[in-house]
Amino acid sequence: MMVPGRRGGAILLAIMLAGAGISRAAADPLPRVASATLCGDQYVLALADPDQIAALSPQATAPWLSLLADKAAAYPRPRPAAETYLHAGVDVLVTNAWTDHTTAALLERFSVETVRIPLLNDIDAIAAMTRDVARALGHPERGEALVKRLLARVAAVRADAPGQNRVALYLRPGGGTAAEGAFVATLMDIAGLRNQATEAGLSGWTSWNLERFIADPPALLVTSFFESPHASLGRAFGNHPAFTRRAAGIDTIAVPGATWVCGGWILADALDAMAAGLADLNARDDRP
Amino acid sequence: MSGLEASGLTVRIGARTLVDDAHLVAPRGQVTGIIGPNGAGKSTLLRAVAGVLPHDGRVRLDDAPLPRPGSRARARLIGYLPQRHEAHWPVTVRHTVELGRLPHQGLFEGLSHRDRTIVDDAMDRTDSGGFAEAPVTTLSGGERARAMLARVLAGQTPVLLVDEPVAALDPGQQVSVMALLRAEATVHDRIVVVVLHDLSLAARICDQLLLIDRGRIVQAGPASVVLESPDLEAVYGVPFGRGRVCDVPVVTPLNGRDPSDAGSAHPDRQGLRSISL
Amino acid sequence: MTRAATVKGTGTVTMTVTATLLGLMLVGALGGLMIGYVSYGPGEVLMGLVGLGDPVVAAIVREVRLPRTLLALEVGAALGLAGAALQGLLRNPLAEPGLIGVSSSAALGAVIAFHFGLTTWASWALPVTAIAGASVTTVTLLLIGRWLPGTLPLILTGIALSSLAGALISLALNLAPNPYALNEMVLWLMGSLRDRSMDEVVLALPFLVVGGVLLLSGARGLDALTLGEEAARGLGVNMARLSATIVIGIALVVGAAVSVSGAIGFVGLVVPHMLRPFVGHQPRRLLLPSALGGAALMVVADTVARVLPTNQEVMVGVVTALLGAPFFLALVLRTRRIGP
Repeated sequence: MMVPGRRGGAILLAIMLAGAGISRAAADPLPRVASATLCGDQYVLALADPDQIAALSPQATAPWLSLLADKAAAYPRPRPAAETYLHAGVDVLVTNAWTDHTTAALLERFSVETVRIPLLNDIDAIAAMTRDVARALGHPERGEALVKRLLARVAAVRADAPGQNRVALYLRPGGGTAAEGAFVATLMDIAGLRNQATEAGLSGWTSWNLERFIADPPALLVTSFFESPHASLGRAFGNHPAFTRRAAGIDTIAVPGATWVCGGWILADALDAMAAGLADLNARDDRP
Repeated sequence: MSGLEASGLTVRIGARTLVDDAHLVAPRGQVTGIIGPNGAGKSTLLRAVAGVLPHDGRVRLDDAPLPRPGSRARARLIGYLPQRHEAHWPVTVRHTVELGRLPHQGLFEGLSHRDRTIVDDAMDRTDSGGFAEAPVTTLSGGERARAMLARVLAGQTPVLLVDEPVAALDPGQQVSVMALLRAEATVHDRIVVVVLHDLSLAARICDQLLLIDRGRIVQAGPASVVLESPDLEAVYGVPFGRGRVCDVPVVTPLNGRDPSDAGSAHPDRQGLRSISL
Repeated sequence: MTRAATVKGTGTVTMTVTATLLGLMLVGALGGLMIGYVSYGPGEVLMGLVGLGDPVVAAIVREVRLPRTLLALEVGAALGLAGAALQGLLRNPLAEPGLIGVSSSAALGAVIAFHFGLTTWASWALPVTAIAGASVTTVTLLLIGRWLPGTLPLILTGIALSSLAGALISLALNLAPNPYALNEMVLWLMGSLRDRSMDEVVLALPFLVVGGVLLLSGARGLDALTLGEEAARGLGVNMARLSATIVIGIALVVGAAVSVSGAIGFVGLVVPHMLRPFVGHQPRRLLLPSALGGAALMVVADTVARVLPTNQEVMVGVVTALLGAPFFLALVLRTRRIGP
C-alpha cells in the first residue's frame, strides 16, 4: 500500500526507467512536448522523457495543487501562449478541452498537435485518455503501465472495501461536495463508502447545505483543499463555527488536493490516500 | 448705525472681478434697492452680502460682525431669496415654506406650533395658501415666486435679501409683493435689500437705491436723488422720462438702446452656478 | 382643508408607513428563519430561538438561520439608507451608491485582501480593506468636489472611479493564483449571504452603526438642499460639512456591507423609490423608512434566493440585480414626470 504524494513520484520514476528499457523499433524522433495546465503537467511529467519536455504550466510547482511538483522544478514554466510554444519548438501540447480554444486552433495551423483533456469522471474514460496522451507523447507503453496501475489499485481497493459502508460526505471549504457521477464519488464508492450526497438525491459536482450538515451529520468526512494557503472568499461554510465545532468530533480523512486536482491517472494516488486513511480508522476501531 | 453695512466688498472669479470695492448701506426700517443693467453685478453683490459667495471685505449688522457664512446663526439673521427658484423634488408648497424655519430648529426637532403659525401666516401674506398642498414643481412661475417668498418670510429674519422677487408676476401681484416687502421694512422694522429691474417700482417702493455698473457702485443714496441723476442715462445707455401718473412715480425709458452702441450693457453672465439635474 | 387636519394627516401617514415597514421586516425575518433545507413552523422557530424544543432545530435556527437573517437586515438597512441619503445629496432619484464608485472600490479592497491572503492574518482585515477601498473613492470625490463643485462633476468622477475599480478587480481576477481562487472570487463578487455566521454580523455592526448615525445626522441639510445649494447655504447649511458627512457615512456603511456580503446592488435605488409615494419626497422623511424598507427587501430577497428550486443556491445579489435592473430602466423612462 503506497503512501500518496511525494512517494508516488518515486514509484513513477521506477516505472519510467523500466519503460525506458524497452527499445524502440523505428527510430522516430520523440516529439517536443509541453503542458499548459495542471492536469496536463501530471501527464507530461509521468509519461515523457525529461529532454522531451519544453514547458509546463505556471502552477506545476505548487505543492498543494500539483502531485509531481518537485519534479516540475527543473522545467521552464512560462505563461501559456501559442508564441511561447512555437518558439520552443513544441510538437505536442497538452491542455484542457474547455478553454484556450483560440490558442489550440492557432497551434493547429502550425501543425502542432494539441491533446485536449476534458473533465473526466469515469475510470474507463480516464484509462482511454491516458492511453491517448501517452501515444501522442510517444510512449504508449508507459501509458499502458499507468493505466494498469490505476485499474489494479481500483480492483484491489474495491475488493478490500475498507469503507465498511460508513456513511461519508465529501466536503471542500466552500461547502462543495461530490455526489454520484463525480469522480470523487466514484472513488468513495470503490472504497466501500456510502455517499450521503448521493443518498440525498444529488448528483455530480454540487454543494451541501450547512443546515443539513447540522441536522444529519455523516459518520465520516472526506475533506480536501482545506490546507490551501490562499484564503478564499468562498470559505464561509468551512469557517462557520457551526461547522467547525461539529466537524472536530467527526472522523475525517483529508485527501491531498493535489491527488485529485483533475480526473486523470493521479486518482490512483487519491484512492491510496483514502484507503490509507480508512485503514487507520479501521485499525483504531479494532484496537481493544 | 442701525442697519446692514458692507464695505470693501470685492468678488473675483479667476481673473475677472465681478464686484469691485463696493460699499453698501441698508438702514433698518427702509427698503434699499439695487439697480443696474444686466450683468452689472447686482445679484453677485447680493449673494456676497448673503454669504453664499466668497468675497473680500466686511459685512456688519448694527455695527457688529456677522456670524460665519453657512452657519445657522447667520441664517437666523439673514434671509436670502435667490433669483432662480430651484425645486428638485415635488414636495408640497407647505413643506417648502416650512423649510424657512430650518435655522430655528435643532438637529432632530420637528416643527412647533409656533412654527406652524408663522408658516401659515407667511403663506397668507403672499397669497400662496390656495395651493399649499400642491407639489411645488407643478406651480406656475408666479405661484412659485410667491411660495419661495413665503419661505423667506417664514424665517422671520431681521435682514431680507431678495433677488428680483417680482420678475414672474403680473402687474397687480408685482405691486402687492413690493408693498409686502415695504411693510416688512416699515412695520416689522426689518432691513430689506431688493434687486430690481423695474425702475418705476423702485421709485415707488425703495427708500434708498444703489446704482451699479460693471461691478462698481456708480451712485448710492435716497431713491429720488439716484433716479433723477444723469448717471442713470449713462449707465443704461438710454434716455429716461420721469414723472407721476395718478400720484404714482414713473421712470421709463424713452427709446430702446441703439444696437450699434457697444456702450454700457453686457450680456448676462451667469458666473458660478451649479448645474442641477 | 383645515390646517390642523393636514398636520395630523402627515403625522399619521408616517406612523403607518413606519409600522408597516417594521411589520414587513419582522414577517420577512420570521420567514427567513422558517425557510431553509427543512421548513419549520413559526412555533418551532420561536422555541428554537430561545433554546427550547428539538435541539437540532434550535441549533439550526440559532447558529445558521439567525445570523443570516440578522445580516440580511443589517446589510439591507445599510444599503437602503445609503441610497436615500445619496439621492438627497445629489438631488437625483437615479443615484445609487454603486453609481459613485463606492461599491466597486469596496469590492476591490476585499478582493485585494483575498488575493494577498490578508484574511488569514486577521479576520477584521476584510471589512477594513473594504472600507479603505470605499474611503479612497470618497476622499477622491471630496477633493475633486472642492475644485469642481456641483453634482455633475461628482457623478462623472464616480463613474470614472467605478470603472477604475472594476478594471483593477478584473486585473485581480486575471492574475488569480489558480483557477479555484478565480472561481471563488467571481462567485463572491455576485453578492451572497450564504453560510454567514455571527462573526460577520458582529464584524460589520460597528461600522454600520457609525455610518448610519452620520447619515441620519445629515437629514436637515438634505432637506434644505432641495431648494438648491445657494438657498441651502442661506438657510445655514455648511455645504462642505454636509457633503463630507454624507459621503463618509456612505463609505462606512457600504464598505462594511460589501465586506461581509459581496457586491449587492440596486437596493439603494429601489427602496427609496417604492417609499416616495407613501412618505413623500422630502429627503429627511425618507431616510429612516428607507433603512427599514431596505432591511425588509433584503430579508425577503434572501429567502426567495433560497427557495428557488435550482441546482445551486441562487445568489441574493443576482436576485436583486434581476429585480433592480428592469426597475431602473422603468424609472429612467418615467423620470421626465418627476423633477423641476
